[in-house]
Amino acid sequence: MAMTTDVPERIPFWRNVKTLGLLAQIIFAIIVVAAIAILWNNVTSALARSSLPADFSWLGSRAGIPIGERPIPYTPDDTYFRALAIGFLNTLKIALVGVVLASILGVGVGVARLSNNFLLRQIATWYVEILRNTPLAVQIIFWFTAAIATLPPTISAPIRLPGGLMFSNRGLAFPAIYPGFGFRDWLPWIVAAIALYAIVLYVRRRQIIASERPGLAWPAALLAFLAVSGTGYFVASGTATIPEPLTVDFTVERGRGVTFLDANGNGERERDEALYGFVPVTVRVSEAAIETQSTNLNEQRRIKPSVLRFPVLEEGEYESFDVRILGSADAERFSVHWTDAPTAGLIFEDRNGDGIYQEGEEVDADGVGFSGVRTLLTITGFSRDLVSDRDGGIRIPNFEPVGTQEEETEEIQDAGRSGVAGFGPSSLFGSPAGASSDEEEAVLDTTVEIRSSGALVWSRPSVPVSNYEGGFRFTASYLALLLALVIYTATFIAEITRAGIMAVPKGQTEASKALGLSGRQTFSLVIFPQAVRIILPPMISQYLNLTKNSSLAPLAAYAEIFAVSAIVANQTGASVPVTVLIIVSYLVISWFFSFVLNIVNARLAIVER
Amino acid sequence: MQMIPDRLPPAGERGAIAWLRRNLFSGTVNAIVSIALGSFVALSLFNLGRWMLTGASWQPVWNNMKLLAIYRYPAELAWRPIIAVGVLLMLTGLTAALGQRVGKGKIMTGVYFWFGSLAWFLTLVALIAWPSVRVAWLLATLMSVAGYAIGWYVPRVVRAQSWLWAAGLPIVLVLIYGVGGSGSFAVVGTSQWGGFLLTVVIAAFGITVSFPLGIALALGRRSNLPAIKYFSIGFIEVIRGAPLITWLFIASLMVPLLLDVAPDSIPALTRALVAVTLFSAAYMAENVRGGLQSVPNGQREAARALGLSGWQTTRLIVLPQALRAVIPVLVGQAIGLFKDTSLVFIVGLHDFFEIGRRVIPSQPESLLYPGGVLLEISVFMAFAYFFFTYRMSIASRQLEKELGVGER
Amino acid sequence: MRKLLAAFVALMVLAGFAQAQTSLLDEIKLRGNMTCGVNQSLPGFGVIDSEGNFSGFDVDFCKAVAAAVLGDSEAVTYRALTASERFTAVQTGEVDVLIRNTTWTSSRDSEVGLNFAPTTFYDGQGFIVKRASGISEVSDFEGTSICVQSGTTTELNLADVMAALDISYTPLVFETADQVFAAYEADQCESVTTDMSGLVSRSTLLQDPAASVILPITISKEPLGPAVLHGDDTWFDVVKWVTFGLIFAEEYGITSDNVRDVAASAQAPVVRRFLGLDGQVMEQLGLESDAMITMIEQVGNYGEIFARNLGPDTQFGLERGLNALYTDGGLLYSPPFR
Repeated sequence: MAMTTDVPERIPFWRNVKTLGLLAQIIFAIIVVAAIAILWNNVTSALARSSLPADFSWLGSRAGIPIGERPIPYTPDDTYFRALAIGFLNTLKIALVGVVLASILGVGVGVARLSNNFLLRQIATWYVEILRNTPLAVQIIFWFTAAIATLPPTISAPIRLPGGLMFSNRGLAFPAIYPGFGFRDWLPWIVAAIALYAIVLYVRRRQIIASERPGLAWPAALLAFLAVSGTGYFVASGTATIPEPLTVDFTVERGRGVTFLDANGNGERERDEALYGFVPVTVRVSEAAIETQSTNLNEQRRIKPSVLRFPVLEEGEYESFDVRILGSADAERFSVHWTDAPTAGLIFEDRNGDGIYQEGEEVDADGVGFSGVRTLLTITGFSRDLVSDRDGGIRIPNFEPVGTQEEETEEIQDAGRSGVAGFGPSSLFGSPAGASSDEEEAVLDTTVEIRSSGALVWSRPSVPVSNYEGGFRFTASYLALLLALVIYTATFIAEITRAGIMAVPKGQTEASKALGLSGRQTFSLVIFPQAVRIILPPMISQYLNLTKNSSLAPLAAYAEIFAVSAIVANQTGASVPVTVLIIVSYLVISWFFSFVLNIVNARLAIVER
Repeated sequence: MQMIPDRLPPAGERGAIAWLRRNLFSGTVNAIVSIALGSFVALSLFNLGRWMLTGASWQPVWNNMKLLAIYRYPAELAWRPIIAVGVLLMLTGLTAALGQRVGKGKIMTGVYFWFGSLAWFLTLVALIAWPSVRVAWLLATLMSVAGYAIGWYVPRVVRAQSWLWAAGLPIVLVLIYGVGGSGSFAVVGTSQWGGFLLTVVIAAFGITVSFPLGIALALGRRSNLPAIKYFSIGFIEVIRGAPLITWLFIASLMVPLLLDVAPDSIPALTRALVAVTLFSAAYMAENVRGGLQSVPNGQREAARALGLSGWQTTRLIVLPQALRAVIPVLVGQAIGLFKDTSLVFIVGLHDFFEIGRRVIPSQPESLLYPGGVLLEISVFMAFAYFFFTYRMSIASRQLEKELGVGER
Repeated sequence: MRKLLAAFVALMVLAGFAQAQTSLLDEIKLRGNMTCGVNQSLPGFGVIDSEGNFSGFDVDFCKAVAAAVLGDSEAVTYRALTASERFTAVQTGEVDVLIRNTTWTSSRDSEVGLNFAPTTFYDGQGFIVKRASGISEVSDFEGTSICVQSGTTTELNLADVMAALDISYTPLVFETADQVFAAYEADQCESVTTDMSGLVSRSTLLQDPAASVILPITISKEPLGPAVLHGDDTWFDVVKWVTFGLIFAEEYGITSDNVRDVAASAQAPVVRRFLGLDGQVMEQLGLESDAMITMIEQVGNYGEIFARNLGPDTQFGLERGLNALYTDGGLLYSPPFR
C-alpha cells in the first residue's frame, strides 16, 4: 500500500506572494533611492563646480528689487526673505478675496442655469461654456492688457462716486475705516461685547428651545453686542487724545511727509524713530501754483485732443483758483474750458470769438489737438484732510510757490521729432542727481496739523500726484488678476452648484410644496441646504485651484509668490533653494485646503443621517 | 363609456406667445429680469459686433496666420502638417462613418463634422488667399471626405480600423518631424516648431504618455506594498500640490542640474514635455483612482474565485470597468491640458499663446496700431482655443450620457 | 539664472581642454551653418516677421559673421532667446555666438564665462516721460509711477538710484517690454525706464510721439556687443575681428555697393591688407582671404547696418550719437588689420 506522504509542500520563494512582494518593494526602493542618489549627486556636483548659492544664506541679503504691491512695509533695501514673504502674502491676498467672490458669482450662475427664465438660463449657460473653455492665461491677458488698462479713464480724471470711491486704469480706491487714537481703549469693550453676544445667544437659544415656540436668538444677541460696543466707542472716542511725541515731518518741496513718534523732539524723523500710521492730518497751503501742459491724451482707446489735467481737487479743498496760459503767443490764441473745474479741462482756440467753447474748437484745421500748451493753475487756501497710511506717509500735490514759473525755460525736446535727446557722452556719463534745490528760493507756505480722532478714523482716498493715496486701494494688476480668476473659477463652481442642486431628489421639492412652502422657501430652506453637502467638497478643491492659478500673476504684473520667486531666482541664481521654497509654499497652501476639506467632510458626515 | 377625443390646449397655452409667457414673462420679477437682461445682451452683442466689424484691426492677426499656426516651420514644408491634419481627419471620418452604419458613433461623427468643416473653411481661405498651401489644403479636405466615404461604402474596413489608426499616428509624426535629407522630407527640428502645431503636439503627447503613467500611479497608490504605495502617494500629492506653471519653471531651472548634462541635449520642448506629462500623470492617477474605487469589490472577489491571478483581475476585470467610468473625466482632463499648454512660454517655447502675446505685438507693423493689437489678438486666441475645447467638452458630455455615468 | 548657468562654464572649460584644439570655427565650417542667439521682440534689434524670418541690427551682425566665416550671410540658424536663457545657451554651446543686446559687464566676463567682442552699440539706461506730467529731472518722480521690465538690470538700477535720492515712487514691474510700453501708452505710469536705444526706437512708435519726451539723464552704462564662450580664442578672435571689420570698412568708406570696385582698384596697403589682396591677415584668423569682401558685399559696413535698421530713414530715426566713428565724435574705433 502506497502511503501518500502528505508532506506540506513548501511554496518556493519565487512563487510566494509575500516574498515576491517584499522583493518587488526592495527592488523598487533600490531603484528609487538610486535614482534620487544619482540626481542628488548631479545637483551637488554641479553646484560645487559653481559659485551658485546652494543654501539659504542669501535670504538675508539685500534684495534690491522694486515691488509695487506690498501688504507689509518693504523697500529695495530689505532682504530677499521679506520680498518672498510679500509674495506669499500677496498670494493669500488674492486667493482669499477671489475665493469669496468666485463662490458668490459661481453659486449665482449655477442657480441661474436652472432658472425658469429662458434668457437668464441661456446667458448663464453660455457664460459657463465660453469662459470655461478658454485658457485662463488668455483671459488674464485680456483683462489686464486689453480691458483694465485701456477701458477705464486715466488717473487724472478718475470715475468718482460720492463717498470717495475712485476708479481709473490704475485701479480702484475707496474710503476705509482704520483704527484711530482711541482704538486701544475701545478694544476691551469689543471683547466684552463679543462675550456678551455669545452669552445672550446661548441663553436665548435655551429659552427658545424650552418654550417650544419658533423664534430667533441672534437679534437679541446682536442688540446686546451693539449696545456695549457702541457705548464703548463713544467712551473711548471721547477720551482719546493725540499721543504725546506724535509729530509730522513734512518735506514741503517733495510734497510728502511722515507721521512718527518723535522721541528726541527735533521734528525730523530719524531711522530709529517709530512710524505711526493712520494719523488724521490737515495740510494747508495758503497759495500755490502748479504747471502742466496740454496733451492729446490716449484715454479709453480714443485720442482726446488738447486735454488739460491738474491734480484731482475736490469741492471745498480750496478757496479760489485761477488758470493762466503761459507764453504770450499761446495766451492770446487759446482759452481754457473746464470740464471738471479745476481738475480737468481742455484748451480751445476761440475761432468765432464768442468766448465760449464750441465743439471743434479744441482741434486745429487738420483735426489735430493742441498739445504742449503750458498752463498755470494758481490755488489759494488749499486745505486737505488726510489720513496717513499704514507706514505714516502722507502726500499732497506737487505744488510750487507762486511766481517761480515764468522764468523757467523749458529745454526738453520732443521724443519723436529730435530722435536722440540726451544721447551724447555728456548725458551718458552725467550725474543722475537731479534735485537742484538751490534754484528755488521761494518756499510754499505750508502748515500741517494733526487732528484728533476717535476710536476709528475715516480715510478717504485722494490723488495727489498720479497715484491713489489714503483709503483702501486695489491696483489694476490686482483687479485684473482677481477678475480673471473669479470669472474663470466661477464657471466651475457654477457647474458644481448646478450638479449639486440637481442631485437633490425631486421628491424633496414636491414634499415641501405639499407642505405649503413657497418656491423661494422650498429652495432656500429645503433644496439648497441639502445641495450644499454635495457642493462643498468639490468647491473647496476649486478654491485650491484658484489659489494655484494665481501663479499666472506674472502675466498681470502682480507680485505674488511665483512672480517674486522667478525674479529672485534670476537675480541670485539660487535655483535649488528657490525651487524648494516654491514647492514648500504651495504645499503649505494645499495642505491647508485639504485640512479644511477634511473638517468639512467630517462635519457633513455628522449631519448626515 | 365614451372616450373624449384629445383636444388641443387653449390658444393661450400654445404657440410662441405661450412659450414667451412661460419662459420669459411668468411673473413680474421674471418679466423685469427678462427685459433687463434682454436689453443688456442686445446692447453687448451690438457693441461687440460693431467693434469687431469696424473698430478692431484684424490685419496683424491675418498677416501672422502662418506664425500662429506653425511658427518657424519652413514655409515650403508647410504642406506636411496640413497633410497630417488630413490623415487625422481621414481616420476620424472613417471611424465616424463606420459607427454611423451600425447606428453608433454619434460622438465621433460630431467631432468629424466639426473639425471637417474647419478644414473646408481653411481650404476655402487657402484657395482665395494662401496660394502656397492651396494644394495641400485641397488634398487634406479630399482625404477627410475620402475617409468618411470609405467608411460608409466599404464597411468591411471595420476590421482594419485599429490597424489604420495604429499606422496613421506614426505617419502623422513622420510628416511633422520628417525623415531626413534636404528634400521634401527634411527633418524639421523641434526648435522650429511652434504655434498651434506645438500646442497640439504638447497636449497630445502629454495626455497620451500620462495615461499609462497615471494608471500605474493609481494602481501603485492602491497597492498593498508600502514602498510602492507611499512613493505613489508622495509623488501624486507633491505634484498636485503646486501649479503647472511652477513645475515648468522648475523644469527649466532644475533639469540641467538634475541630469548634470549640457542642456542643449535637452531641448526646451523636452523639458516642457517632462513637466507637462508628470503633472498630467498625477492628476490622471487621481481620476483613475476614482474609477477604481467605483468598481464594486464583488467584481474582484468573483474574478479571484474564478481563478484569475491578481494581475489578471486588475487587467481584465477591474481596469476596464474603472477606465470606462472615468472616460468623461479624462476627456475633461485633456481639455484642461490643452488649455494649460499656454503656460509653456515659461520654458521659452513659442506656442500659440506666446506668439499671440509676445511675438506679434512686438513686430514693427503691430506697433503702428493705436493702442496695440493685444485686444484683437486675445479675442482671436480665445476663439481659437474655444473652437477646439468646446467641441471636446460636448463630446465629454455625450460620452457621459452614453456610458450612463453620473446617473443615479 | 545667470549664476546658475555659470555652473556649466567650468564644465565647458573642462570639456574644452578635453577636446583640445578643435575650435568652434572648424566645427562651424564643417557644419556649414552657424547658430546665433538673438532677441525676438526688440524692435530694431531683433524681431520675427510674419514669415518667421529674423531681422534687426543684432541679426545683421549674425549675418556678417556667417558671411565672413562661411561666405553666406544666410547660413545662420537663429535661436530666439529670453533674457534669462541667453547665457546658458552660450555656455552649453546651443548657440555659437550671442548677439542679443547683451551688456558687457565684468561679472559676465568672469563669472558667467563669456568673452565679449567689441561693443556694437553704446547704450545707457534712461527715462521717457509724459510731457504733461511736468517731469524734467529725477526728483520730479516723487509720487509717480514708473514702468519697468522685470528680470533685467534695469529694474535694479532704478531701485538703486531712487533709493539713493530718497524718492518714493510706485514701480510697475512687467514681464515683457511690450507690456511696459502698452502700460505707458495707456497712462498707467508717467514714465518708462530702459535702455536709451529702446526708448528712442519705441518712442517713435508711440501714438503721439510729441506727447512724450526722453529725459537728458542716463543712470547707467550699457555697452552692448556680441559674446562667445570663454576659452575658445580662435573663435573669439574671428567674432572680434569681424566686428572690427565692419567698423573698419566704414572708416575707409567701403560699402556693399563699392567693395568690388575698391577691391579692384585699391592702392592703399591698409585697405589691400584688409580686403585680403595683400598679406595673410584673413588666413591668420582662419578665414578665406576674401572674407571681408564677401561680408561687406552681403551685409554692408557698420554704418549701413545701423542706417538700415535704426537710422533716420527707419521708423526709429536713431542718430549715431556715441555710436558714430571716433572721427565723428563717437566711440567706434577699429584697430589696424595687419
